[in-house]
Amino acid sequence: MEEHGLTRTIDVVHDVLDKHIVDRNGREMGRVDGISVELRGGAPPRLAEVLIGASVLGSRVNAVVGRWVQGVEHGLGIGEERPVRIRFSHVDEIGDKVKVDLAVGETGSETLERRLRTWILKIPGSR
Amino acid sequence: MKKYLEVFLSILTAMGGFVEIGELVFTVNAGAKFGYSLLWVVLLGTVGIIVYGEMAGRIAAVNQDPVFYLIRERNGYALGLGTLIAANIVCLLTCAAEIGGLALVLKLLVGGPYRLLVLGALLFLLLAVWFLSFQAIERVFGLLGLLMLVFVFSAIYLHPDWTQVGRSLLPNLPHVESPRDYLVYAYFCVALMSSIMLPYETYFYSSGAIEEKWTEPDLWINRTTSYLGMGFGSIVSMGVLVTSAVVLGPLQIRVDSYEQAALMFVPAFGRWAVTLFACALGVGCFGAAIEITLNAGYVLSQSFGWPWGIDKARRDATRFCTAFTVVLLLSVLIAVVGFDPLQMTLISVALTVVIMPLVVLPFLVLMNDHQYVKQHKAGPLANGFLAALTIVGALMALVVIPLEIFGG
Amino acid sequence: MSDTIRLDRVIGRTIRTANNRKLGRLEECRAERRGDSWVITEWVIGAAGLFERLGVGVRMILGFDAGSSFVARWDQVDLRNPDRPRLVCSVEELKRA
Repeated sequence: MEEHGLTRTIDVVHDVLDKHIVDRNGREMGRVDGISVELRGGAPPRLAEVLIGASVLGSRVNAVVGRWVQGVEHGLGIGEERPVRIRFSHVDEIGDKVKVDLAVGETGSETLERRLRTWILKIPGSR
Repeated sequence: MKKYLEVFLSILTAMGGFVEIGELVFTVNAGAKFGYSLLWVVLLGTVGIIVYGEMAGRIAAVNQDPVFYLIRERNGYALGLGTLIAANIVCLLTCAAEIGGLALVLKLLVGGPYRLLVLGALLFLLLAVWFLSFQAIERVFGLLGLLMLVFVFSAIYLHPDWTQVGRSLLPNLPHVESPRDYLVYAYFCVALMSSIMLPYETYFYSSGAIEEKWTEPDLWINRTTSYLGMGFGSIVSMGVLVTSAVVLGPLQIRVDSYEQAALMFVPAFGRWAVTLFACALGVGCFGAAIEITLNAGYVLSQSFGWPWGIDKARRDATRFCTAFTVVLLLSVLIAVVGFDPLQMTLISVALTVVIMPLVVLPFLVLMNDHQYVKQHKAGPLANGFLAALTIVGALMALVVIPLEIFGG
Repeated sequence: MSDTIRLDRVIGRTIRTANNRKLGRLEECRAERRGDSWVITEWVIGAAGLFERLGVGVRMILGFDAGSSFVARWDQVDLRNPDRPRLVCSVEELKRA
């Protein structure tokens, strides 16, 4: 990352892709599994969204794996909320981690974690 | 004072975790077949794991993130995924071997059907990983690790030829009966190296550094723990080899059961031989199984960005807990289905050495990136040593292991 | 009219010149903040061949900079087919990294 006066430049792959992403309270949301780019004829392409989700990772291996993982996500009942899409305008800080100005509950990134929690709390003595 | 006690316990844990089932199986057979000849491989492997482990601890302390967390970031998804898959396959097989070994140890101590004992082992492991904190696990296994010293005691008691032992710390070739034995020797070199330089140990160590909240000022603790802990562990390992060489070597037997291996304690411990051997092996297997189980949780969570940590409340890291539980259950399933733990050990060790470059080389890239280690970069000597060791080891394995399998 | 593509699927793809010669792989893109948006200003193109990439790997392991070949402006790269990125200028017009 470099500071050039009032503008900032970043190396998107090095500084953003695969980095951990946290919400405005510092809570883990996962990793930047993918980034969508908007191509605009005659204007520079714009970074559109940060994508979080296993199906995004799967599709980076190949399209078939991506679809298969999507199927698993639907089977687990979280397909509707995957992939988690966060508009790039919500990215607040890009450093060791990517910080967004949303709370984790405003996205679908914690759904599976919450579902598993209901099971885990049933285990006697579990903290 | 508290800090020094913690360092002492960390050293004991590293020492106790050094000898686990794979290492024990190969070291006992190495001693029985080739006498002291393979001691230099134990020494070389130890230097390798010390260098590797210290680097992993250094990254964690400096960067405040463990190794696996950073591998995907620095090396990209494809390589990160390859490393993750390889690490998990080896974890699964090694864990199954440790659990199988634990069941056989319980069989030696209390008797009973093997499958029931596997389920008993599962219960102990689940209780440990679900209800103990990281510190409690360290303290328990740190102190139990002292039991491993029985191997060192036994070796000293047997009054081996110390000059010969000393000479065997340098690369050497044994006297063999047929040229085919050189192939077997090469196989043991590869297998012993692999069983000492287990990647999961360094990922676990690096995650543990974060659990213990090490920072840059604690780098001396990292160096002390890795040098002394793994160094002492290596002495335990050499104790196993020397004892086996003195007791089992002259018997010309191939050791393929724990009852046979336990015989090596008879001269030193008499009627306590089997009990002590079983207890020491049990501690090694139990500790290793816990480490591997937690490590699976660590590497999956760190790769995918889930909250993780055994010191977190379980409800705050549910995917991490689910991941390690699933891996544990799968390992138990493999053990219960009845695969011979010794066979699983052979396979997991063979796989480990072949995938080693995939695991170590991305790590070396990390160790040379100023962004991740600041001024604490690895020097060219350490880089070159680790790179050479893993590449040569993998190439040897690709040649030697198939020949050994096909040659029976 | 705008299209949306996945950056992670473009990265690592081989980019070809106007006369279909392999130039290298898209390794990185640089973006700049303009108001509320981040826009891509440049693409970094790295080694294409296997031996070159192995050489890069060895350099990285030994602690040297990986090095790269070219830097292209956003308007010098055509990504309408993300599986087949193309250069829309001559190689001589590119900056050397």
